[in-house]
Amino acid sequence: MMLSYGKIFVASLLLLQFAACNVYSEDLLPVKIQAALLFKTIGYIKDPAQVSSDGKILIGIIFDDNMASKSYAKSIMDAVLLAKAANYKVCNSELEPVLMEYKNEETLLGNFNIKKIRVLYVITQNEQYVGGIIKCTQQAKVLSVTGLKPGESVKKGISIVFAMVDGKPAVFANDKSIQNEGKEFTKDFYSLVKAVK
Amino acid sequence: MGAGTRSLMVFCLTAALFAGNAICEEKNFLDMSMEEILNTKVSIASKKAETVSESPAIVSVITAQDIARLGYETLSDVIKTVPGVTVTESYFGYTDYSFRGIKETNYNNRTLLLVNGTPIREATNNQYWLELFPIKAIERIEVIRGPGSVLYGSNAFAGVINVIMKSKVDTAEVSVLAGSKNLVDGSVNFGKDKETISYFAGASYHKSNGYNVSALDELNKTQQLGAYAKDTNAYQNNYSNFFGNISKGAFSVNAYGFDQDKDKFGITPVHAYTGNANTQAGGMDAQYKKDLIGCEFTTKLNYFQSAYDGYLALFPVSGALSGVPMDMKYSGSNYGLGIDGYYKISDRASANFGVTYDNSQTDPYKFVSDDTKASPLAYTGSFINGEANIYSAFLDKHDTNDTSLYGQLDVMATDALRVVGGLRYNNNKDYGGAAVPRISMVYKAADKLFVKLLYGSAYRNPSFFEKYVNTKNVVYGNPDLKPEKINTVELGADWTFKNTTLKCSLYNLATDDMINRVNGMYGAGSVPLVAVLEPRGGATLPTKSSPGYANTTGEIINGIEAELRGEIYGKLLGYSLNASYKDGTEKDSYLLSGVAGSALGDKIQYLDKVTANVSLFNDIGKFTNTISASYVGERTGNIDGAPPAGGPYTAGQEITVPAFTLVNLKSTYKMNKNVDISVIVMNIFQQTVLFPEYIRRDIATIPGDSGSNIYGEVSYKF
Repeated sequence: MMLSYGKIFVASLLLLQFAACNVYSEDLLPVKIQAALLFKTIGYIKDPAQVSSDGKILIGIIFDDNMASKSYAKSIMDAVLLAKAANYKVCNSELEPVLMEYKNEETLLGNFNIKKIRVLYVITQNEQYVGGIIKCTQQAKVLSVTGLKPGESVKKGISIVFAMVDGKPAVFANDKSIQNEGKEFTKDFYSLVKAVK
Repeated sequence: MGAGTRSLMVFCLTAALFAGNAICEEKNFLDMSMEEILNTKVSIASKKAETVSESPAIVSVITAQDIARLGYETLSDVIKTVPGVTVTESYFGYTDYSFRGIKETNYNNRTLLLVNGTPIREATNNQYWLELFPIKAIERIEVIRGPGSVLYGSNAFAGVINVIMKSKVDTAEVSVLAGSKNLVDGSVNFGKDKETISYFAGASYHKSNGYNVSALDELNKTQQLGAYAKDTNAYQNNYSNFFGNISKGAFSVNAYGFDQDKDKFGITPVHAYTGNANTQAGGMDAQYKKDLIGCEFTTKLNYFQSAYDGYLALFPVSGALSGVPMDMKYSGSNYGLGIDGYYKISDRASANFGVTYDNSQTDPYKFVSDDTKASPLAYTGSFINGEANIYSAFLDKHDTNDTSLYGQLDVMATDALRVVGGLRYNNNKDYGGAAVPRISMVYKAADKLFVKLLYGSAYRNPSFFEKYVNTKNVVYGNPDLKPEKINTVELGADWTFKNTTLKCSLYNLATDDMINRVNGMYGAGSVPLVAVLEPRGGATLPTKSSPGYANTTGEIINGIEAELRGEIYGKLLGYSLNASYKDGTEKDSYLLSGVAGSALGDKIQYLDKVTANVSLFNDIGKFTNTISASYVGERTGNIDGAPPAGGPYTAGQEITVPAFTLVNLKSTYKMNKNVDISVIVMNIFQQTVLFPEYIRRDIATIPGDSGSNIYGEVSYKF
């Protein structure tokens, strides 16, 4: 018995250690969890007026010219619509998703002003686009949020990033970006999230 | 292939066929709090979410936020807030954690400590220490009440404490706490989470003069210790510890360790005891995750080493000083290898399986007479300076090993019914093969109401100390010991409504072959309960009636636990309440050791029938305030059959250890975004705390800290 166990054990170890190596990548959180975390996060904003206007919170969901990006953005929008259909409210405000494709900074700023968007969900991994989007969110005081590439996104200045860490959801908050986007969260929020400076 | 392996394969195949195809259970994350979502386990392979509510176990989670709010500066204080868990001090200097009325053996080995999922079992006694980790480096603690041997092997008997340390976090924090009894506690945490590599390091230093023995009862023998007392600061508990983690992609390494200097100064009408225990222990583990052939594999490697050096002096109740001042030393190491696999069979079934190998090596158990205090008096010649005890079966290093194969299947039998079944086959060098099963059903009765029916079995292998270490006329090991066993049936409910979570559990547990220290088991004039130990290693039989370890019968305990957490008045006031009640019987009528025909009935000695904890907290502007209270009810037991001559106790005398309630306050002022200032008051009503002496039962109680303590704390976040 001991011998056969030993053989199985050694063989398994060798198999694992010498197998072709794939780079480990952090998986995306399920869309439903991303959406729920987005709503909960907004609920921790100290002054609801920073995101709500006329009893509504308009959440922009921005994608790029990549098909996968658009498809993913739609699934996020569906999750927001489902919550809206269930009459789910945040800060006593209705949720309203707005799907947008990124063209350039000027168009995006215009959209922010016309549609009164105060929260933006970013679904693009294009570095150039992300740079432009952040410029706009900081200028228009719009809270930027994403569930993509957590490490990179948060360093590039996206304020709130949802990720899966060790098999559990995690929220990263870039304090400097949050300030630049004119938002203030309660201290309870900071006790739950991983703050990034 | 052995019977156990075959059984496991048949079990897995049957369950896989049973799984069929259906949809994965949907969860409503919108109704969960942020904290609940963040505590949701998401399997990378299955993307299936699992919360504490629907997990197939009775689990309590203590977060870093809970720890900070309560203001406890040791993990022992934190653990006692879990329903049904009590903390007891012993006069041998150990702090024991009792789950659901199952008392520890004097060492903590009937519960299992995990660090980030890796078990810690010290080699000689298979024990653990909760001072091992810096408390402020802890992210959360998951406490499972009930057996956990299917996943974690030996010692996951009455419960499992899984300490999840901080990692992959950007932080830089320093805090200093100081106050009563000259307590100084400082800690430093530093972490960086980078795309390429993440690292975290935390360390703490804790020093306290302990509490004043003059405030305690039963002090009339203080003077007896005289020059033998090594330190006048009784119950002193000084320690320093560290934890470090490095993570890079799928690879992570943890390292941790502590150095503890603990002084005990037990004063009783029967014995006067002084002791100083220095323990050093540390370990490291490495994990590597990899997806392969459709499975998510985690390869684990761990190493742990510890050394104990204790000074002991025992004195009789009356007469001239005739103590046994000596140093007792033991040390050992363990290493383990394991592979854990996760496989998603279908949308409604997944399997978890693995193989582990653990090796444990114990150094010779040494007794060294303490020449600096006095010559060994009563037992001259029994100990050899610096050498292994000649009465020990093992004068050289002793090693043992354990190989396990386990599997667990998780199936959604219907849209609302989840069934989890598991089996572990364990092959131990000393005890051979054995299998432990587990089966759980979790039924979703309503949107946020989960009902659980759980059955589990667990075992604890005898420790090296219990089997082989003989200290002449003090305590004798028993090489014929077999593992002790437990079977538990639990019915639990977990209901979340609005901002409130209610958890209830009913349980029935039955233990068998419990390993206990039996007074008067060996030697002249005793009533042997098991076969008398054969002399070995040149030893002679005990010359007086001496205690020894034996498999006694078991106990049956039934209990109920309830936990309520929530917020009222729009998050203005948060609360956490829990209570537990238990009662039980010994399976056989208990005989006073050494006293023939002295049946005491079937009462479980010193059972902590009622425990309760309450904490209320609120945030007002820049202040966070918490008031908490812990209650431990009255416990009754009996003095054993052979109390030392000259003392006030008689054989069989009933002892009642009084109930106590500790009330604590903490108020934190957030000065600015960097600085927090706190004031903590512990035991504000100065309740007298006494612990039952349940190991030897030749004395009544061990005094606890009965005074109020006031601390101030400053933390700075960079």
